[in-house]
Amino acid sequence: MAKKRIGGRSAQLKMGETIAIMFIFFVLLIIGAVFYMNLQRTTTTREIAEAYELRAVELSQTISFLPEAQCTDSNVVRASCFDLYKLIGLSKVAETPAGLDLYSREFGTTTIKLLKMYPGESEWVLYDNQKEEFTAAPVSHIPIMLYNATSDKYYFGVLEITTYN
Amino acid sequence: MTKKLACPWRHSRKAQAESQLNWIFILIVGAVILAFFTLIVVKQRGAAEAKFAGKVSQQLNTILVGAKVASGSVQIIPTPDVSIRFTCNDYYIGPASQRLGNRVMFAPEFIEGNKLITWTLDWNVPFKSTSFLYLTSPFVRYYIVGRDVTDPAAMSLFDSVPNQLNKRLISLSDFELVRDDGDKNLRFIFVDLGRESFDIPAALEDVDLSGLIVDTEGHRVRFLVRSVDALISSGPYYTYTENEVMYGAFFSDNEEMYSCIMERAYNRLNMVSRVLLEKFNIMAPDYESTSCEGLYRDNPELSRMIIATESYHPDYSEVGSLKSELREKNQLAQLRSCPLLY
Repeated sequence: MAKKRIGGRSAQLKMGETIAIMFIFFVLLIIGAVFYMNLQRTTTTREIAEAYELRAVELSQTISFLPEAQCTDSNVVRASCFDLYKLIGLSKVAETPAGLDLYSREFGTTTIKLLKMYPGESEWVLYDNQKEEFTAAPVSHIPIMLYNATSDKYYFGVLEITTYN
Repeated sequence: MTKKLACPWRHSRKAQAESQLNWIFILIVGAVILAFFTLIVVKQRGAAEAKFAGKVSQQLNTILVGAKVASGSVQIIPTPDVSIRFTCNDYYIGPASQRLGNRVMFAPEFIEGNKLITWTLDWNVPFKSTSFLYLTSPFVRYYIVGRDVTDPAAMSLFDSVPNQLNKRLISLSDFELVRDDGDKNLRFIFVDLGRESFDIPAALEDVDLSGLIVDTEGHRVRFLVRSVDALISSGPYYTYTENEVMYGAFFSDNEEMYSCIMERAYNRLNMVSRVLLEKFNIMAPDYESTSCEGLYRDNPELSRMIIATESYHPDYSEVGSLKSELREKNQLAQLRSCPLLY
């Protein structure tokens, strides 16, 4: 009888041992998974932030290639030049429902401002389509050259691009 | 004695049962662990594929934005061996998609292979309204079919599209003899043949093919789709006022997609006209009582252009005549030393 009890106990012990090993294994696995997920989350957050920064640069590129913004002489584009009056015209057209509809496909939920820095200071909102709810709104400033077609003069300006996260 | 003999036997059976139970337990736990890791591998593989597709589509987006910059340029871009599906508003690489926004991009519905050919042209009506980007692959073969190989219209079309394309100029009689050379896709461009359908050559029964009728006299195109054994016309005739628009039909193999993209192009033209009209109205007060007066304030040509392109399809004849009028006015501005209209 005593032998029998000892045999049963040893099997129970073996089973308990296996369960304990399994338990420790799964605990380690969960700790590893949590650590990996946290690492992934940090990487993803960083990538999202980078993507928004890239978006601002992409937007400034998009604007610079818009025929509505470029300086031209008989369709020959002047490099790195923005036509001041075209941009002011764009700001008026982008306010209309049709304009907002068209440009929202290009610029999405952003606010783009044109700041004339020198000579004199002026400001125009080229496009404004804010997100109703956003967690952050990083602002990028891109220096540009503005051309005044009537005075044939160049001004310094800045494109202020706010992207809503 | 009997009792003494029975006890070890019973004891050994119980031990055996416990040992078996232990093994079953280990097997179940092993299977669960194995299933868990298999699941992780499968999920990770899916995620890696999605990440790869996302990265490729993002990089392709950057390339396509860059390709727009240099008008008239042709580029052959090496890509991973992927299949790209184009729709009017997006393009897809596997599960990843990218919005096209306001970009005017003409491409076959599917592009497969490891190379892309891009061609960029400005759309000047007569001022630049947007850039047209044409996309295809060396695995798409274009047959330009003329009445004969010396047909001027067919030759002109053949010469005007980039040499980097997989293209051939053939006569209508040669069309019946076209063989399957292993190209993924064949596109036949029938130039000034005055016919609405064409029998598919017997050798091309199992080949993916499409077609386009180009009427260079009437400045119009019509798409051809495959029926059982013929290429038959599909959809209406589309008028083109500039060759750039015709090239759009050349590269698109889907009539609906072409129509949708052209609608976007005319939307852009309408918007650029509005911006220019605003610009000229801002400039106008500076030129009162000068020889430049009348060129800018409420510019009638631009006002008419806005009306002509208000909806799709636009008034093509009006757009055509406005192009010449605006060109003349731009020359006039140059002669009078006034700021150019465009």
